[in-house]
Amino acid sequence: MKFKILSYCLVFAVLLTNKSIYAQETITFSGKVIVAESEIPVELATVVLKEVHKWSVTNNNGEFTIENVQAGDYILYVSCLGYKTIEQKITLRSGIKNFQISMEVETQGLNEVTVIAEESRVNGTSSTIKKDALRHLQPSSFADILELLPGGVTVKNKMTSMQLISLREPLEANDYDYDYNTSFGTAFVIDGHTLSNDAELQNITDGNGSYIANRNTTGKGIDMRLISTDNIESVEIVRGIPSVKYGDLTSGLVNIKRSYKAKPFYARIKSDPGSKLFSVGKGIDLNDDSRLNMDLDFLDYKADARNPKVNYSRITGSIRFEYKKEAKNSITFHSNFDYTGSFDESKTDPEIDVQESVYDSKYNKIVFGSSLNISNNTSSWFKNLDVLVNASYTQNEKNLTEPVAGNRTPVYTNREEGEFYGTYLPGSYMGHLKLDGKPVYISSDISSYLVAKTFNLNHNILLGANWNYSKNFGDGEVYDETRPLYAGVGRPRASKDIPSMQKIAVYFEDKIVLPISLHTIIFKGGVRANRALNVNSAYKISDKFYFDPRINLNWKLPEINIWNQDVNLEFIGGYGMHSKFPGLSHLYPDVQYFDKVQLTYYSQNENLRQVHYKTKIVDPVNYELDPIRNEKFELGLNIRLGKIRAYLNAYREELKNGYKNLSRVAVMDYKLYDISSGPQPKDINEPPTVDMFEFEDKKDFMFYNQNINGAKETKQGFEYQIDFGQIKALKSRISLNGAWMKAKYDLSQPTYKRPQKYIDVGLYPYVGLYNWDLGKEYEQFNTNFRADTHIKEFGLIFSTSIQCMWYYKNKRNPHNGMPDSYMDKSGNFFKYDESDTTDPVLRFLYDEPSSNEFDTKRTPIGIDINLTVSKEIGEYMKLSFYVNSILDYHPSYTTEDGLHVRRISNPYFGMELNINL
Amino acid sequence: MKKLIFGLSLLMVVSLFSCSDDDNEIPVSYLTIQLNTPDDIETSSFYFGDLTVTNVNSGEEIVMELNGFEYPAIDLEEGIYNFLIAGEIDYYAVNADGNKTLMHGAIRGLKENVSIEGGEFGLDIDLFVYSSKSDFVISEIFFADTKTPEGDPYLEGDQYFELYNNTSKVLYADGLCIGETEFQTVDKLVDLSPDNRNEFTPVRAVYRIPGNGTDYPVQPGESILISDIAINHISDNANSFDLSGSDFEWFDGADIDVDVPEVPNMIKMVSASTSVWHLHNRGYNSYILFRMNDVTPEAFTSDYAYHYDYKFVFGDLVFDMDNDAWEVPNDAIIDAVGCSTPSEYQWKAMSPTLDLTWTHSGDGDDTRYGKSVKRKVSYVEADGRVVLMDTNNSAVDFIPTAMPSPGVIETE
Repeated sequence: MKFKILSYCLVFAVLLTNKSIYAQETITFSGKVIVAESEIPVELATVVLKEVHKWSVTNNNGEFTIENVQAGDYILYVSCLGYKTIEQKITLRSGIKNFQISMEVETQGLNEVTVIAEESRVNGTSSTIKKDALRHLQPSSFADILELLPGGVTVKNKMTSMQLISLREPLEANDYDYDYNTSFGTAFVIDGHTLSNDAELQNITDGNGSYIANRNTTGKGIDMRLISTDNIESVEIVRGIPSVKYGDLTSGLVNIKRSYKAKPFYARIKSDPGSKLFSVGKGIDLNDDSRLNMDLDFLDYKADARNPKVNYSRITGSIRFEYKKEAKNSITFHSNFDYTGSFDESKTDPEIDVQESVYDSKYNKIVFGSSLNISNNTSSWFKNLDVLVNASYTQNEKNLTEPVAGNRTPVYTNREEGEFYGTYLPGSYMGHLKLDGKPVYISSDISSYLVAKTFNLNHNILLGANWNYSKNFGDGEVYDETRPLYAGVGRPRASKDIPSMQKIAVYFEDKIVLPISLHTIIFKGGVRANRALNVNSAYKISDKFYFDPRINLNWKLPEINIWNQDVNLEFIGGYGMHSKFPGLSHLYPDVQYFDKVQLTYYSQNENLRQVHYKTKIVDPVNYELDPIRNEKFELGLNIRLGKIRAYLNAYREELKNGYKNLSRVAVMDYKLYDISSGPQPKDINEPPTVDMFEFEDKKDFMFYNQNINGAKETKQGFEYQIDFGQIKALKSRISLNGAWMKAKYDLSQPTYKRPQKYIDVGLYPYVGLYNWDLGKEYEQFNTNFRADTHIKEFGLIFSTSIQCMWYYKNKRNPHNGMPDSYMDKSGNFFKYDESDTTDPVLRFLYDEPSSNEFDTKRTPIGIDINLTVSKEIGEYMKLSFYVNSILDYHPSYTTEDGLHVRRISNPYFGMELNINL
Repeated sequence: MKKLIFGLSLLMVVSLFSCSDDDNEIPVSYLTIQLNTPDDIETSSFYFGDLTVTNVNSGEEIVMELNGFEYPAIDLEEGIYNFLIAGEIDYYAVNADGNKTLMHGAIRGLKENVSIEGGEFGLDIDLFVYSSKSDFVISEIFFADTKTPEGDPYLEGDQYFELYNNTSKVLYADGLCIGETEFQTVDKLVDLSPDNRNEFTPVRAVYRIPGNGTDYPVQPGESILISDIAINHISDNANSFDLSGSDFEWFDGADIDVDVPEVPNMIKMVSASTSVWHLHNRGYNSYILFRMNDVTPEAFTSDYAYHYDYKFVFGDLVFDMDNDAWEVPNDAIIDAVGCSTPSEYQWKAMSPTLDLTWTHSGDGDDTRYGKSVKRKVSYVEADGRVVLMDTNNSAVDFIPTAMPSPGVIETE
């Protein structure tokens, strides 16, 4: 795909001298610049009539217009980065129509294959990874691709748990404690359609059910395991500030374009530790205008070949259709139908544990999408119109069966507050739980590129609107309430009872190329207005537009020549605001039921047993919930020196109101009946009633969690990629990339905690209000060196990657261990100060930091060397092989605490066979 | 201080003649052991006794008979050792008036985790005279949990203690307290401070039998059963027991526990846990029995509080730690049972004067399920009254991994 090369376009600015030399007829010279082979328009090419210094820059459709030119002979000069510069004689006269200039893609060597991520700064700071690089990388899922980004390193894939994206986050940084704002705020767009998981509601009422909580992506973002890589033509990963066309994101954008072209049959068979992958595909020409693409992919992963009980498998299939008619009004119609299925399962070993615990998860998703693009070559203002519609339906079912120790808690089924008599759960039983999720997503987008001209400036205007819909039609948790899997917590709620969420957005963007002297400034700025629909007016987000202004600025300096080398310099700057609305799980948490047993009369005679409890309901919905908003600043420098290209970029991101599930407290009063004050079982012949007993009034704290805009995340860093191009002597392309990055996770809203202490014959009587938690600051610095050798005669590509993690470190955010204040059971708040840390009772609220709590934990250098080899065998086959950590250097080190750490890195390898017929 | 030195001198012959591979020579120590007799006895003559030296790492034991003052020489290689002395002596007990009485009794001493690193080494062992208190004894503890027929652990309240009147007169259970030790025998704390286990036993949970002093008489040879949930557990789990005949149960609050109306509850004095009291099912904690009638739970919480510091050490990593518990004066303790998991044992949770050793159920493995620790029968009186073995030495007094028999005192 040549679109990306467009991104590299560097425009020569030529001083405007608008003298009329001859009093001849003046004409308007217009035409189109296209790529020779594909006829794709070349955007941002500079077209210059040398003699008169008249110039123009092509728009998105490759069109240019130079007005007021006198007829005659000229030298036409057309240049664009990534293409061979054209210099040819031309005779201009009136009546020239449909003038076309074909540019050839500039290649550095014969049949050079690019196997690195290509950096770009046109659509925000981004990396583009194309088919060849993907092939060479041998990915099993999308997650494997990320190692090509600056700051990325090879990570051994583990497919038994979800894989969430992590952009500009040090490896050590674990989003687990910080509610996954980065992955939740990264948009995945496939062929223009945004993937969503806003309606995923696969969590269970019991927050302690970590087995499930850690195995679903509710409120966390897209599970990259589900994205197959085989039909990907190119992926653009925008870490910087994306166009306002893309919204409902905070951290970044993953823009995947799949192949719609005719292509020969291919098959790929891959094997590496734990996984087997098999995929086939073909793209056929139906007729001159339409093509059909089909592919199928199967992945089977076993965490441990000896243990068949933990595994993951995925099937994806896709049929894509393209109709493309080039004419005065060109029409491109795309339609796709996709299926994704994934299955993971685990069982306890019946040999060891007599009773089987079973966990299985089935995920089936179908997607249907269409897009229509109409572009006009003649209109002076209308360039194109894009309409996209996409709908998906997912059936996500998890089944759990486990032996349960009922703890003889009461069976709770009531849905209202009050005092109730109940029955006891048995001591042990088998519990079943089905989690049924059926999210439906519909998204649509309409956008248009228009051209306008003011003060001799071309405005490329993008106008668009977007609507999307998320709803879950599933039954949610389904279980026998009298034999729950998690005893004593909550009541099931059907997901389909939760309203749908709809979001609209309108966006406007202008791109202006501004020549100042020999310099060129490309300004791309816009604003996106986002709004949530179908949200109850009690919510703060219900009646508000949230605006995301975003600007990217490129300043290209005139080309200079040093030591016979052309040197191009380009400065980049950007500012952007990015908003992401909450998902259904954030907006609609289920009410919390607090059940307090008031009388327990567990007689030895089963017929006389009685339990009486009080239920209090707390609604944890946070009506004040805002979209999370990330503010980004980017500053960069691109240098092109001959064939060497360097991309340097500094960034700072601040997300002040990230989602965080924080502890809240309520006070509940209840009665505690004294069973020794009532009748003995021998004196009654039916269960006793509460009026037979004396009681004491009691109060207790009830804790629940609420989704708050309570996380503060700050990221800053410096990313770099230097591509030295093909070094002839080594027959290799040498490149390096890496990043220094820092990310800090902190609490911006207070949380409640009660010391787990038994004081004065009762639970601890106070709750502390803490303004700190265990957030950390992470830092890392890495460089990956790469040498890619392509020996055409042998059909061999040989890559060596030396991945140096110079260091990484983390340290805990400073705190004094004290709560701000504390609350008693009557709801009174008291200020907590230093003297309370020695009070016999209050000292338990003080969580004294240990002497080394705030020490920096630093891990020194670690180097891994990875090899990848691809070899063409005959005409149709290609065999690839990789070994990661074939050599490594991980010296032992001693931490500040005195801990001696010995590091071991084990090599692992995989191979795959590609067949292209 | 009247110190009588049993000039025990243990010669550890240092075999300096090396093996052919000189480099791997293990240093051997020459060890002198000085035995200090207790302050409150005057003189004594040694009858017989054993010194047991246990290599902590290998578990290897060397038992040496102590014949008077002569001791055999042994080779002791570099390592960590426990030294245990048990013997019998004649001694003069001195009462308040200064009168002396000639007594015959058992004498003991214990020194744990002594690091022997080669060369000459002096070791002091404080001896103490053991005297059995004529009172209740803990006759059985079931801490190991049962498994259901389906094979899942049944954690539903079938743990129990049995207390036995080991005397010939009527005793009252009123005010008897069961305490669980704060320290675990499998987790030796480094730099524990303050460490006053010679006078107090740190506890993490205490439950007391109610009563005004004479409410709960227990006849000689009879026992009382104290369980978690006093029901017939067999109906829930065929591998469990009928505990409906329990005399008392412990209860931790209506929201987390169930209360059986047929059986009176123990008074919860203190607990470090905010959850239900579940005995460690590998026996990591040890248990004491003491009498404390007049102290309210509130007073116990504050007056018997024990705050301690220690160091958490993992490899080269060291953290300062502290924790809160309570302490029970050793004088008040009438019986104590050390418990552990043999392969993980590290130190004693309490003074060896309370219990010289420890017992166990299984070794942390599945064999522990459904098994208890049970006191051996010493002899049976002519009237049929069973006298249980109580030498304050659980390794000797108890049957480890025993078949539980709640409420039943077997005669052999």
